[in-house]
Order: sequence, then structure tokens, then C-alpha cells
Amino acid sequence: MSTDDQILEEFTSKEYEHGWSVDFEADEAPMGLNEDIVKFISHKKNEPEWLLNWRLKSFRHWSQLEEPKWSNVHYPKIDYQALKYYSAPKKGGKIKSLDELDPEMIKTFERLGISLNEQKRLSGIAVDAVIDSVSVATTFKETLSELGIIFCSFSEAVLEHPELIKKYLGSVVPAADNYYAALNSAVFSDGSFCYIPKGVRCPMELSTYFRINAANTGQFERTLIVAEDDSYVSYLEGCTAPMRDENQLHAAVVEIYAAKNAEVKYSTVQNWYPGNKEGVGGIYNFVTKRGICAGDHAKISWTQVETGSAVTWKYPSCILKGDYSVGEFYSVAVTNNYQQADTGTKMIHLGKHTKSRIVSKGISAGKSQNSYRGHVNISKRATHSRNFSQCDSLLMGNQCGAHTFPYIDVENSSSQIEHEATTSKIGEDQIFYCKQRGLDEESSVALIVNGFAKEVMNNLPMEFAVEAQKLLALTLEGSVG
Amino acid sequence: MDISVINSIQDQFNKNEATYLSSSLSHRKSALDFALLHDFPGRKDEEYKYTPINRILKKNFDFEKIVTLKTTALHFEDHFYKLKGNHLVFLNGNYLPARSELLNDVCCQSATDSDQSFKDVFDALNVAFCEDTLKIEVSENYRPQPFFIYYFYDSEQGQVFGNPNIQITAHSNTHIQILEKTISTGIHPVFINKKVSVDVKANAEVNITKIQNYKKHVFQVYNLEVNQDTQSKFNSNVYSFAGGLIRNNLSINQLGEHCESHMHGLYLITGHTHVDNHTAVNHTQPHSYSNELYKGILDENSRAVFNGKIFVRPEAQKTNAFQSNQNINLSDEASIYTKPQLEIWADDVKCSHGCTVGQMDEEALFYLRARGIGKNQAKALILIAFAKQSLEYIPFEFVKEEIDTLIRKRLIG
Repeated sequence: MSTDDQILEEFTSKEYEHGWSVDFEADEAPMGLNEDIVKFISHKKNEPEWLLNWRLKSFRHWSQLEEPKWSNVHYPKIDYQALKYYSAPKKGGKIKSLDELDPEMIKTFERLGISLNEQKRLSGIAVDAVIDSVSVATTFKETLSELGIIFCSFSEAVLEHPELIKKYLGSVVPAADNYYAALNSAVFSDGSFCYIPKGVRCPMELSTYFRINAANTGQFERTLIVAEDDSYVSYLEGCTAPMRDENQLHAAVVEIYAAKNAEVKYSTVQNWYPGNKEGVGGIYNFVTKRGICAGDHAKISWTQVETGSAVTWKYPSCILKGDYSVGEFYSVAVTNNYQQADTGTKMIHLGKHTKSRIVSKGISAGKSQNSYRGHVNISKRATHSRNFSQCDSLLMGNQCGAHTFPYIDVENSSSQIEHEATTSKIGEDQIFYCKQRGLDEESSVALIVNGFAKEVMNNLPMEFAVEAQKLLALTLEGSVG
Repeated sequence: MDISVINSIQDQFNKNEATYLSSSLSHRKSALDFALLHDFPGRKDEEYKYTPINRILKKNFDFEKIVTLKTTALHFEDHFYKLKGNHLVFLNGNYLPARSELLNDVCCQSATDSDQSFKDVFDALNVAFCEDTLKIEVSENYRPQPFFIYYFYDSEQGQVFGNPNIQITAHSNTHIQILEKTISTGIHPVFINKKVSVDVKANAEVNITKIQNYKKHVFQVYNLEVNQDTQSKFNSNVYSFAGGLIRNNLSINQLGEHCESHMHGLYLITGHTHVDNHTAVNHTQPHSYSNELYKGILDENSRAVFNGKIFVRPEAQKTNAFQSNQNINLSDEASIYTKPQLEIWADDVKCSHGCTVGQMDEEALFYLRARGIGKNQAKALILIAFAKQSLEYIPFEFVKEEIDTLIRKRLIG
């Protein structure tokens, strides 16, 4: 057996690190999906009439839609009636201080490495943690509210800031946008809401942690970020799920609204349970993320590190409506075993002098399939626009696949578009070079992979970069190093 | 399909039925049934997303008004290249052996093939309506004179629906050079539904060059399918200058090891010309190679679509595949839709693709103008240099010159 093969062997034996579940007493909706369930969820959250109607409208639209089939992923048909659409840890509810939290829950966060207390003291990151579907704690709320920043769970925002929710909900991702967005709009249970007022630079990173705990639940959270003129915010999102044999569904919607001169940086480290090494179980991650640079000189930057999920279907996009607005997309997608990822971005240039940059790094190992799917659209009005895309794939082993589907549409003569893509494997000469200098095989590969992904990692906030780098090394542990 | 279109296609078929060989009738009929069950593809079809052929045909072409040509005023020989070789003449999609000039060292025969299956509606229509298939077969270890294939379309008397079908077999160690040219007269719309299949056996080489300079009422769908054996080589060069719609589907299947495929294209279009190049290379065996370069210059209201697919199957280790699409857009009314696509299942490969859309380099323009070259001439110089890279692989000097002249005429005026 060649060393490459040996290493691959070792790689496949790697197990999921966050695989444990905690028995909270959960408050659940009965299985299945119909208008009553939608009403049940809405009622549970004491939602106003208009939101219930919005949900019902979305549900009726969703019932008429068909599941999209164009993506390069294959999975058994999902039975939407065999899922629970609402699951709340029973002791959740209204909490004023962290001391009131269920001690079991605090233990969960500690195992996740995001001890709320610690985070609060050490890193100064405000965390909004979402377990199953309900937001359980938000730290640092008071510090933020002094600046006029609103950072709370979505259901809280619905009750306390209905005018903002009413104005921006569905403004970027309309309820009828696509199959999963419509489903989410009908049954979303919670999520985070973030509002940065005019001229405010958010002093700390805002962060959400999502976790699917209960069995057979779908998680449908909704995140809405609104950045007013001249504001800045950096937002982090992390996800894990316990190990389970059945596939769990996660269909989230993230909307970002950036007004004139505003800048929003959205970073995700996604580490949902990817299924075991035979491809059993894992999360179906069907997410719609979209931001709009509504004002001139606005900027939205997506950074994602995708290591988990059995199936990923995710295209964080930017609508560059304001003149001189900027959209960025940095992505590392790692797939191993039987994971499938179809991910990429859409850059819709509408304003003049708009710029976008796409850097996508795909790493596939085992029997996984990794696809980049991107769309760069330069409309007639978007004169003097600029796009640069780079998609590189790294293949580890000869049973995986790396695919690229870039769509490039240009409708004016003053814009400049460049796209390039390469596919390669880690060369024996590269490994040899490192080994000669005293590194063992494992660290050589870690070094090379880290180098490969560096351009993206550099765009992650400090706290996340460390975690992402560890995650990358872990996911590929033993693969070729 | 609209019921009226179905009816008129059926009528056309019935009209021609008497002229077809009775042995081919049942196959033709099943092809027709297949075609009539399927609509012409449109926006909803991924492969025709940017070329809604159903709408284009509906707007421009009427199957009811197709006429069968009785006589023609065309003088075929006037258009022949003054070169030694095999000159093959097609008129409105049908092969005319009597008007062709063949050197008797190759086998060109017409035949009806009855064991084809149908890939899509165009394929099926071709089977149903093609008068007969032209078979070109070159026996082993032989290098024949080049083939010049002239497609004449005369739409003076009414609309023309041409369905040429050619099957080329290059046996081991042969080397075939083919040049395809289309000449049209007449004022009525022409819909060309052409199909060419090429079988390149071990160690053989086939080179096809196509010049597409049509009238604006000519609409064409061209399916070129290639199967390559071990150590074979295939080159395709396509030059599109004008036409109502030009859709080129090139699909290459590399079935043996050490295959080599080169695809070069240039589209230099103005007016309302719509050019769509779809290519697909399927690498199935180790040590294969493919290289693709398509360049385009767009002006006025023209539209260009490019979709290059490269598939590298798990067994095709040590494959090198390169793909590039470069465009210069000169007009705000012109649009470019490009999609260079890679699908790779093997790890020890070198694959890359790139595409660019841009304008003329202002600095280069300034450099030339600073040296006393007029604005228009400087522009032309830069564009000619950009376009000429695609001419490198044409095997015929005089064709290079002809295309060079076409480029200059278009860019300098």
C-alpha cells in the first residue's frame, strides 16, 4: 500500500467530535406539517396577526412548489411530514441573567467550547445561542443597547421591534424565493435579529451558535441583520449537531440589509454532523443566505468554512444595488466520506462601479462530492463593474469528485470579469520537500492544506480563525496527513 | 410543440414520404413520433437557457412554408476551392453525388442508417428528414487528399429546412482534413439541422475546420459528435462571423488512452447575430489531453453563449485538460453568457479553466496612438492580434488567409 493510500485509510476512521446529545426536556410540536402546525408555532411565540398571515401565505406557496433538482447532490426524498417543526428546550423561556439558565444547557455550551460566561469575560463576543429552534441566551445585551444596537432573538424582536421586522423581513429573501426559503418562512421558529443604527461601529463581534439537539427535528432559524448608514458589524455564526442516524433537516434563511456606506461581515463555521463514515445520518443543510447593498458604497462580505453536513446546498449571495458597492465571498468547503456539497455564490451587479470578489477553495476526500456553483451577473446598468473569481479544488484520493459550475453573464461593455479555476492534488514532491525538512507526513499535509485555504482563513475574525484551522485539521486528520 | 407546428411537420413528412427508401420508413416514423412528442428546447432547459431556440424558431421560421427545391441558379463549381481534393456538394441538406468531384481513392457513399437512437428533438428530426446519410470512410494507413464540403442553401422559392447528416470513419493510422463551408442565396429563412459524427480509430487524426458566415435569416443547429480511440487526435476549428442563430454542439468522447483533442473557436459578430458554442469533452481513460480556446469579439446587438464542459472520469488519471474563453465586448447592447464547467472524479489530473470578459486595453491603445497610429487603426490592430491566436491550428494556408481577410474586413471595414 502506498503511503497515500495508508493515510487515506487512517483518514476515514475519524469520528465526529461534537457527537453527543443532552436530554433537555423539550417542548415539541407534533410531527408533520400543515396550517395547524404553522398556527401552533406562531401561537407558541405569541406572534402578532400579520406575521401569522405572512407565515400562512408562505406555507400555501410552499405547498405548491416542487423541491429543486438542479443541484449536484443526491439524497433520498425527504418526507416533510415525518419531521417535527418546533422543539424548544422546556426551561428556555424568558431569562434575565445567565444564572437562570438550565445547568444542563450551560454544560452543553461548555462542551461546545463556548461557555457563555467565559466568552463574556474573555473574548467580549456577544453570543446568541440557538438550541434546536429557540434562542436561549443572549449575552452582552446591555452593553450593546447603550449604543443603540439591537441584538436579540428573533422572537423577541418580533414582539419588541415589530416595525423593524415588518419593514425588513423578506425584503432580501422574499418568502416565495425558493422551496427552502418558503418552507423556512412558514415554520421558522427563532433566530437572531441584529440592528446597527446609523453611524455606529459595533465594538464587538456578534455571534450566534446553532445546535440541533432533539431527534427528528428540522431547524429553521431566521437571521436578519440590518446595518444603517455608515455602520459596521461583524457577525459570526457557528453550528453543530449531535450524532444521529436519521438525517436531520436544517433550512435557514439569512438576510442582510446594508444601507449607504454600511459594512457587514458575516462569517460562518459550519460543522453540522456529517454522517458516519458509511454515509448514514448527518444533516441536510439547505440554506438561503443573501445580502443586499442597498446604498452606495455599501459592502457585504461572506466568509464560510464548511466542514460538516451530509448534504450542503448553500449560496450566500450579494445584490449590489448601490453604486460603488462591494460584495465578497470567501469559502473553504471540505467534504469527506460520503458528504456532498453544492455551494457557491451569486453576485448580482445592478449599480455602477460595483465590485465583487469570489475566492472558493474546495477540498474533497474519501467518497465525497464537492461542487462550486457560482453566478456573476453584470446587468446593463452596472457599467464599469468588476468581478474576480477564483475557484480551486484539491482532491485527496481517487474516489472523490470536484466540480465547478460558474455562470457568467455580462450585458455591458465597460465591465471586466475574470474567472479562473484549477484542480489538483497534493503533490508527492511537496510532501517530500516538507519531510526533508523534518516535518512528519501529517503536519506536512496540514501545512499544505492550510496554505491552500489561507486566503480564506485570513478573512475570518481572529477567534474564529483558530477554531476553523483546528476544524480543518480535524476533518482531514489522517487524510493525507 | 404547438399543434400547428406538429401538423405542418407531419404534413412535410407526408409530402416527402414517397421519396424515401421504403426500408428506412419505419425508423423515420419512430424518429418523427419522438420529435413531435418533444418540444424545441427553451429557457427552462439548462442547455438552452441563453438560446431559447423554441422562441427563435417560432418567430422566424414556419414549417408550413417549407418548399422542396426544383431547380437552382447556383453554380456550385464557382465556389470550389482551386485545390486538389475531394469536393462534396450538398444542396439544401441533401448530398448531390453527381455534382461532387471525388478522387476515387476514398469511399464516399450514401446510406440510410436504421439503428440510431435519438438524443434530442434535433437528432430525431434529422433522422426523419435527412434524405440519406453520407458516409466517408478512409481505410487504414492512408492519408487522403483533403475533403471540402460545401453546403449550398437556396431559399429563393420558399423556406428551407436542411438536414444534412455525415458519418466519418478514420481507420487506424489515417489522417483526414475536412473543411466545411456554407453558401446561401435567397431571401426566405433557412433552418439547418446538421449532424456530423466522427469515429477516430487508433492512431488516426481528424481535423475539421468550419467557416460560418451566414445570412441573417439562416438559423443553424449543428451537432458534431466525436468518438476517439487510443492515441488518436482530433482538432476542431470553428469561425463564426454572421447568421441569425448559430448553435454548435461539439461533444468529444475519448474512449482510449493517450487521446488528444484540440478545440479552437472564434466568433466575431455584429448585428443581431447569436452564437452559441456548447462543447463537452469526456475523458474516460488515462493519459488523455484536451485543450480548448474560444475567443470572441462582440459588437452592436450581438449575443454570445459559451458553455464548455470537461468531464474527467475516475479511470482517467493523468489527464490534462485546459479550457479558456476570452471575450471582448465593444457594445453596451451586446451580451455574453459564459459557463466554463469542470466535473472531475479523478485526483491525479491537471485541469484548469479560465474565462474573461473585458474591453480593449486602454494602455495598449495609448501606446499605439502615441506612435502616430490613428484611433481606428490602433483598435483594429489590437483586435486582430487578439483574434488571430485562434487561427494557428488551421491546416490550410489559404483558409487562414480567407479568415484573416474576413477578420480584417470586419474590423477595419
